[in-house]
This record gives sequence, structure tokens and C-alpha cells, in this order.
Amino acid sequence: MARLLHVSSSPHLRTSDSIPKIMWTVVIALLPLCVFAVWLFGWYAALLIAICVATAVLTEGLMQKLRKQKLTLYDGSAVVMGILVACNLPPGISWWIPIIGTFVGMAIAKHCYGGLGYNIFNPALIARAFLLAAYPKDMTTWISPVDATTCATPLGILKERGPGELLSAYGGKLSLYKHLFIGNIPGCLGETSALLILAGGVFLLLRGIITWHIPLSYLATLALLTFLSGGDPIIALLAGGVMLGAWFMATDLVTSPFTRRGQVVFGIGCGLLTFLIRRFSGYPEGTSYAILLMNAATPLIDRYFPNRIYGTR
Amino acid sequence: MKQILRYGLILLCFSGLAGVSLHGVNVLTRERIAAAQQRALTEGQRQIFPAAARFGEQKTFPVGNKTAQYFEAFDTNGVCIGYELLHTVQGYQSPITVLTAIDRRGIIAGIKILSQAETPGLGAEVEAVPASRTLWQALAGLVRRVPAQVRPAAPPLPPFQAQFAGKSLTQLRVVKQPTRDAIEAIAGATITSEAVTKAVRDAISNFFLHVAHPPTSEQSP
Amino acid sequence: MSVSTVKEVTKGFWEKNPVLVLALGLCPSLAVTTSVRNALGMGVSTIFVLTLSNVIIALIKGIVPSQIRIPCYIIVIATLVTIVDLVLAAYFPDISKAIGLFIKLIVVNCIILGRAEAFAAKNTAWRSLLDGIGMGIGFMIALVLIAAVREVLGANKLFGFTVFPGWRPIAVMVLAPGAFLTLGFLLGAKNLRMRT
Repeated sequence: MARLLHVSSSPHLRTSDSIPKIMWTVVIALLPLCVFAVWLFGWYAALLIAICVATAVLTEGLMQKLRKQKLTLYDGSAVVMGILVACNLPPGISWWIPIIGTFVGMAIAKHCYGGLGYNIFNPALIARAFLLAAYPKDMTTWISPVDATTCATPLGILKERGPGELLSAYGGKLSLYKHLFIGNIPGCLGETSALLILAGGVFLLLRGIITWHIPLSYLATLALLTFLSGGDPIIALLAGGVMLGAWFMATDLVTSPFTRRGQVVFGIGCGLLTFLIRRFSGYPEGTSYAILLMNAATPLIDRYFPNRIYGTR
Repeated sequence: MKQILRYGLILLCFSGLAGVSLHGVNVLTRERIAAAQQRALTEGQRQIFPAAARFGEQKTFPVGNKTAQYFEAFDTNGVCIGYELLHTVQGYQSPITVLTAIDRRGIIAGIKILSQAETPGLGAEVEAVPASRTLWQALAGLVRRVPAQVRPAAPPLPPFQAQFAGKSLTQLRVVKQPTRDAIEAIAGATITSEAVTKAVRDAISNFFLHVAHPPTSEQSP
Repeated sequence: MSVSTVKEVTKGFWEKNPVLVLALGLCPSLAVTTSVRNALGMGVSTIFVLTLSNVIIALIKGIVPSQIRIPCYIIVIATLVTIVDLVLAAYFPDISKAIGLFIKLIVVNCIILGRAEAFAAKNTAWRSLLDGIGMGIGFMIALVLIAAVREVLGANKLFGFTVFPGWRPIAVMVLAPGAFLTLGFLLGAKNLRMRT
């Protein structure tokens, strides 16, 4: 029985894609976000990204040594994870906190589950969730990109003070949309600019690394539900981490379903959960928890939406 | 049928024996438990209202279909200088009982949480006192005895509860930043912080609504 | 004391540790291990209840029909737990305030019923006494281990004293996820030792 399970799940198609090629393409797609974060929040952002990447690579090496496996530090998966952890951090956080988070994400969420390809949860999101529970105050203290004082994120203002305050804070609807789209707003390092995330996402689409099913079903569900509940769907899409989550984290090959239909179900689930958390919980943003919960549901989705076996109906 | 009767009888015997022994223990410990609770209450009363010399018997007044309890506080001349109010609210996961000391104008002298079972590390931090010594100092202290007069007589009040002292009813709102004229929430435990503040607020407003008339100073509501 | 007598007590300390090997009593080992003080209080109370219930059940095993043994055991255990609860409240009010809620949970702690079923119902009162003491101490060892890790990492304290001045602890370790993580790693470490 155990031997049978060693066969990986379908599809067994051969492609020219190797893990390093996929991972380094993702790194290229993430680079504009990093450059923008450094431009927006200063050199401290570069330091945070460097710390996360270094911790991720070192932890991966350490865990592979401990588990007596081949070192695969050049395949880029640790670099991607490190950059994604950094993208999920508030720009003013103390430098040592990301070390703890990245270590937990890499060591526990990835290697305790068996390493690349076996992890149930997205390691970068586990790092974020762990830090959010461990240092709630640090993880929700935001600095303004304009004058480096502490302030609230657009979603924070929306939650605490309502949509009217948000509009007046950014000087009208059009100005708010423009700020959210360009990204000169307070928020996590890599989540502010919807424009650059979209550019990176389209790049990944064109290179065939991801498909449109998860991001589109995710974003469409969130927009529709927000619209039906009387909210502004454009703000819901552009503000917060949902863009970053939909394009770069929900699409993680390991922790999302195999089949197209499964991926659409996965995206709808993410959108529904994000909407529910934003609307009804105490948190202003719910992207990371939504994706983690759907990660847990992925094996179930794969079971109910399996690949059609070739030659059958 | 016979079997069922036999089993029932055996269970009855066990239950009876258990009941008798529990009654015995209850009789033996009842007075001590009551005394311990009374002592804890008295210590709390003195701690949050140092100006008072003694406290009156527990008094009650009706609030809706419930009754609320309070104590009068007297100075050394036997003049009533304030009140201590008992109030219980639902916290995040447990009922929280708060004792609030106010002077006659309604300014809070201090509060003390008498019982709660909130989440350790989050809600339960409303009762947390920062450690006065590190583990290494304590280990060294095993060798060098700390002189008795250095030790404080009573444990210090937790910082969350200490910030209520001196505040009036209008300042009892919860904020997330450090502040002087509101209550700063415990990080990650807004619901518990709100609940404690609500307990104090309700206790004071109920008291002035039903028992004492609000004083005519501009700080009162 | 003969070798087997000593063995009956010490088996529960480590190689048949109720929490780390038999996986009994996981609920309290997750719930009360937020500080070493609480773990010690829970451990001592459990040793007391477990020893007494083992002895009493070994004594009455002859007169209890097997069809209704479980309700009888539960009555015995619940009575003992209530006695411990009252005595703590009367003589140690501080400890009672800290762990009073968990004391009532000893009734449903599967260690007590587990040892009653697996050991006391088949052995003499003397051996059941030894088993209860050993298993109780083993339970306390596991609790203190988990609590020490969680208190240091999650609250930066040990016995209420600061451990690393200036360091801000990982608050999640004193919450439920921290309990599961710590227990998981301790079980893993124990299994690793047993395999090699």
C-alpha cells in the first residue's frame, strides 16, 4: 500500500519546466514589487527583504542537512518564499521578528511536512499567520509612505471609521482609486501597488507558470460579494493584500488543486472567506487566513474534482 | 429485571457513599473557604482604596430584574468618603467580576478584577504584573537572601487595572494607543479590555442612577 | 523493596510516560501548561486523585459488576476531584484561583479512567498504588516539560521571573497553537529517541 502511494497524482505529462526555471521566473515577477517597496518605504525595506531571503535560504539548508537530503538551495524556492514573507510584513517592523517568522514558516510549515511538494500550507502565509498571532501589535502597526509616521491602512480606516472617512482621507473617489492602483499607500511591503502586482501576474500568465483560474475566480467572487453587500468592489479589490494573495500566493503550485475546475472552486472559496473575514470579523483584512483555510481544503477539492482519466468520459 | 434492580442498587450505594463523604468534606472546609474569599475581598478593597479606613457591610440595590452589590467606604472619622461597586460582565470566554472604588464625585480610586478565566497570554494579561526580577537575579537571590524589608507587602496592581485610577465616567473608552485620558487596550485582547471597561462603566452609571445622585460637578455625566 | 516494585513506579516516568508515550490526558496537557506553576499544581492534584482512585478501584473491583463498572469508576473519581477542589479552595486559595477551573476537568481526564480500566481493575491495591504514583509523576513531568518551553518562549518567564531581559516573547506559544506545536515536537523527540 505504501509503495503504491509513491506514484504522484496525475497528470503525468512531461514538460520542459523544471523547479528552478519556475522559481526564478516567479522571482523576476516579484522584483518590481521589491524595488517599488524600497522606493516607497526606504532602504529599511531592502534590509527586511534581505533578512527574509537569507533566513529562508539558511533554514532550508539547515533543514535539508538535518534531514540528510540533497541541498537544493539553487532551485530558488527558498528565495521566493523569503521574498513573499517580506512582502507580507509591515514596513516598520523590528528586524528580528521576520527571522522568527521565516524560520517557523520554512522549518515547520515546509520541512516538517516533508519539504517542497509535500507541504499542505503555503509556508510564507504560515510565517505571516504565526507572526500575526505572536506579535499582533508589531504586525498591525503601519507607517505612512509620505512622512513615516504611524497611520492606518485604507482597509483599517474602512473597518474602524467607515467608507465616508476613507474617501475624505484620500480626497474623493477617483483620487482614492488612483492611490490604491499605483500603490503609494500604507500597507505591507509588497501589497500596496495593484499595478505592479498585476504586471507580475500577467507576466507569470504569459510564461505559463500560473493559469487564470484561481486569480480570476478569487477576485471575481470577492468583487461580486462586496458589491451585493453594498460595498465598493473596486476598493475591495485594490486595497489590502488580496491582489498579492490572488496572483502570487493562492496560485502556489503545491498547495492549490491540480485541475482547472478544482482551481475555480479553490478561488471561489478564497473569495468567499476573504469577504466573510473582512465583513464580519474583527480583522480589517482576511486574505492570508482565507488562502490558508483553502489550502487545508485542497486535498478534498482534488478528491471531488479529479482529472478525467484519458479515454473515458 | 432483577439484574437491573441489582445494578441500580449498587450504583445507589456508591452515590450515597460519595454524597456522604462529600458532605463531610464540605462541612469541614465550608468556613475556611468563606473566610478565604472574605479575606481576598477585604485585601482587594483596601488595595484599591487606600484612603478608606474601613468598609461597611455589603448592600444591594435592584437593577432591572437583578441586584447589584456595593460597599460604603469610611475614613478614620467614620465619614463616608466613597463606594466600592461589584459588577460582573461577560468577557471573551468567561465572566469577569470587577470591584470598582469611586469617591463621592464618581472619580475612580482604583479597580480590581476579582475573578476571570480569559485566554492566557491575551485576555488574562489584564491581571498580569510585570516580573520585578529576572530568573538570573532570582537564582542569585537563592544565595544572597533578599532582605525582608525590600519585599513589597502586597503585590503591585497590574498596569492595565492601575490606569483606571483617577479617571471619570467619560474617560472610560478603550483605545489602542498609549493615552492619558482613555483606557489603553491590551494588545490582541480588545474584547477583554472592552469588557472590563464596560463593567466599570456600568457599575458606576447604575450606582448613580439607582442609589446616589450624581454630584453637580462638570466632570460627571 | 524489590526490583519489580521500583519498576512499577518508575515505568511511568519516561518509557511508559502517560502523555508522551501512551498519549493519555492530552486535554489538560494542552490546556494548563501555560506556566510551570500551573503545571505543577495540576500535576500534584492529578497524582493525588490518580493514586487514590487506583487504590479504591482496585479494592472495589470484586464487588462491581462489569456492566456498570464505568459509572462506578466515574462516581469514585468525581468524588475525589470534588474533595481536592474543596481542599485547595480552603487551604491554598492562590493555587485554587489559578487552576481551579482545570481541577474540575480532572474528572474527564482520560488518564484516570484509562489507568482504572487498564491497570487498577486487573491488579492488586498495592500495585495499583505504585502505578498511580508513577503515572501521576510521569504526567507531571510531561506537563512541566511542555509548560517550561511554552512559558519561556511565550511569556519570557520561568516561575514568574523574566528569563531574557529586553526580549519580547512569541505570544502565540502560550496560546493553543503553541501548546500543539510544543506537544508535537516533544512527541517527535521522544519517538526519535525510542527508535534509535
